[in-house]
Order: sequence, then C-alpha cells, then structure tokens
Amino acid sequence: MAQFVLPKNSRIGKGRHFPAPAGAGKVKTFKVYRWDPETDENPRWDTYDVDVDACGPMVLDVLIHIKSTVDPTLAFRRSCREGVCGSCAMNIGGRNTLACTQGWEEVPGKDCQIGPLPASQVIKDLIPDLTLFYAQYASIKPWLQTETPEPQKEWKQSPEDREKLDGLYECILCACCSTSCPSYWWNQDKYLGPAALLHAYRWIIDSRDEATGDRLDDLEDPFKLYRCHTIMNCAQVCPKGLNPAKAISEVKKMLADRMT
Amino acid sequence: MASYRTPLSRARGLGAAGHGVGTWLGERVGGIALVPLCLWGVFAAMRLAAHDYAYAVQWVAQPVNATLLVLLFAVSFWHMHDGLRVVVEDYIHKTLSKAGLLLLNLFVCGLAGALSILSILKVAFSGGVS
Amino acid sequence: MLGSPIGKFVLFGMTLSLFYHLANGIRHVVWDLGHGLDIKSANASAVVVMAFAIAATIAVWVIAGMTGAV
Repeated sequence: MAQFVLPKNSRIGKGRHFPAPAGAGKVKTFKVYRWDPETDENPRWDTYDVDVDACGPMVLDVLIHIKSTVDPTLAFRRSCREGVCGSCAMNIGGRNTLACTQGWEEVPGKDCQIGPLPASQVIKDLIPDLTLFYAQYASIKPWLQTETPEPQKEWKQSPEDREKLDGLYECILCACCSTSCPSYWWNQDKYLGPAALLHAYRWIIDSRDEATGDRLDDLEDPFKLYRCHTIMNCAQVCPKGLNPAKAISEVKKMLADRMT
Repeated sequence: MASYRTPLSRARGLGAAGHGVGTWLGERVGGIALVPLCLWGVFAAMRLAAHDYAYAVQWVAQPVNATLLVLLFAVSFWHMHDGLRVVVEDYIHKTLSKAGLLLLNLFVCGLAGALSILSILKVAFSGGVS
Repeated sequence: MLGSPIGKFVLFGMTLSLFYHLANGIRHVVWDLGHGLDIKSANASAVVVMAFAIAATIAVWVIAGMTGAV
C-alpha cells in the first residue's frame, strides 16, 4: 500500500530560528528543511529571517547567503547558477523548480518554504538521492543506435527532422518533473517518470536512429510508460518550459498507431 | 539490508511486459462509447422520473430502449472495472493484496454488470411481471 | 427513497459527478489525440470542464423540474 503518512522518523519537527542581524534592511523569512544523516534526530524546519537587501534576487542567492553568513551547516547542490546545470532543483513554495532561476520575490505567500525534491530519499538537507532517476535515464539508452555503417562525415538530418527535437533536447535532467508527478511518487520503482520518457521520445523521433521499434518495445509496459495519467504536473513545473506530458502522449500515439 | 543490485538493474526491473497498448486503447474505447450512452441515460432517467411504474415497464420493453440500456450498463461496469483497476495498480503494491483486489474488482463489476443486464432483459421480455 | 430530500441531494451530486467525469473524459481523449497539452490550454480546459459540469447539472435539474420529474 502506498504510504500516505510519513514514517515516525521522517516527521518534520520545529527547528531552530535564526533572527535577522541587527541593522538589517528588508527581512524575509525562509523556512528550510534540514536533516542530518549523522544524527538520529528527525528532520526539522529551520527558519531564517534573512536580510534580503544583502542578497541577490534568486532563491539560490538567499541560500548561498545563509550558508556563507548565517549557518554554514546548510547543505544544497548548486553549480552554474543560471539554469543550465539543473543541480539546484528543489521544492520552493510548494513547487519544484531551480533555486537559481526562481526569484524569491515571486514565491507566493508570506514566508518562503524550501524543501528537497519530494518523494525522494534525502542525503542531507536539500540534497536528494537521484541515483535511480539517472539510472532510469540510462535505461532508455540515450544515444544514437545504428546498424548501417557509419557515414564518412556525419549522419544527415533534414532541417524539418531536426526541428522535431526542439523542446526535447533542452532537458537538463533536473528531476523537477519526475519528482512532481504523483504517479512517480507511488511507483518510481516501476514507472520511468516524465524525464526519462521525454528523453526516450527524443530518441524515438530522431530521424537518424535505427532502433525506433526496439525503443517502443522497451516502453510498452503497463508501468514503465502507462502509469502516466496525464496529470500535467511535469509540464507545469518544468523550469525549462518543456512539456514531458506532450512527449509521453506522442509515444502512446505511436504505440497505438503501430498496433492498429 | 544493503542491496548490491546496481541502479541500472533496478531501473530496468523485470523489463517491459510487451503489452499495455491494448488495455490503454480499451479504456478509451469504453469511455468514448459512454459519451453518447450517458447523455442518453440522463435523458432517459429524466423521462422515467416524470412517469409512473407502468410507463417505465413498457418503456424498457421497447427494443431500442432495452438495447441502449443494456449497452449503457455493460459498458459502464466495464469502464468502472478499467478505472478501479488503475487505482489498485497505482496504490497497492503487495502482490497478494493487489491480486486479491484486482480479482475482487473484476468479480464485483462482472456480477453487477451481469445482474443489471439480466434485470433489464427480464423486464423487456416479461413486461415486469415477477 | 430517491424522492426524499436526501435522495434528491444525492441524485444532484451524482448528476454533477457524472457531467464532470464525462467532460473530463472528453478532455483526456482530446489530450490522448495530442491536442491541448500546452499548459495554457490545459488550465483553460480545466475551467471549461468545471463550468460545463455545473451548467449541465443545473440545466438537467431545471428541465426535470419543468417536466415534473422532480
């Protein structure tokens, strides 16, 4: 049975409070999920009253500010700080997005609540374990499969066929979509999830690929593909504005076309 | 207990079942059939509610009405089975309880469908005399 | 039983659920055909579906009232 209540040792308690420094300008409160694997303590919400005048405009700027001036124990992933790498995906104000492209002023509500990506194992604080997510990506064989001997120069593709990859190749595998999908929450061990399926479709419609049928075979499964119930959370949250639901729908259409 | 199964092995699981399109298409076919049937059903219910028992009996006895009623109930319970099946598969993960609930779903929907069809036919053929 | 106030309330609720389910089912079929999956259309169709369910339910009950069904 799916779990609807958090197990006892995962319930989130009230944490510490870090007041704003004296002489702070504009103050905004950030409620941040904290969990340390080194202790036996339950996770907790720490609240930081942040002098946002001293920060940049994005949530990641606030987190970096907290880490470097208030509480160095806070752990989170970040790298490019401009929405290209996908490292800082987290749940901000109840919505999965990239901390580096989410302005803290745009988060609705008085306080800004920040947690790790939902329904994933937490390694520490805001860092989720994405091992299975990456393995699901690997399982769809994200590379060009061909049997025809390699051409002298390159595999050719018409501009029209190249255009079909737009809206797919831009995915940065941040996991915002998959971890926002209720179907993925309940069945991530069997359902590939929107991100892996979007990539599967990216290779299925690549005009240069010669394994289209095998790729469709690998997806035709009540769980791997058909746990998608078009809930649309994936498209709603994608920080790159992509539409995994649309890609999955195209795969379903191709499978139906192949059969009828 | 630590598992030494690699992540890729976990992601691949038992592999693709090689079916699912048929089920998926079947769900849509049932749903599409129910669009006109349900609209007709609402219309029929409104007419029957405005009349008495005797009228309802002779209404059901008309071949077109009886046929559409049978189709409405048959497809409805088929559709109900499809829908509940997805709910069970989504939320129930233990093999035994899943199998039990899937069987229960099939049997209850089958029974309800058969019972409703037989009841309609009985009224249609006998004019409601019990 | 169906004629009692509680029965009518339940029937009204069932009418509303039926029309909501019907409209949302059509919405899903349109999605499965590959249309209206962009966020804007999807959000708009959600509103349309709810509006249709409410309007159709009221219409059915008004007509039922006029024809003496309730």
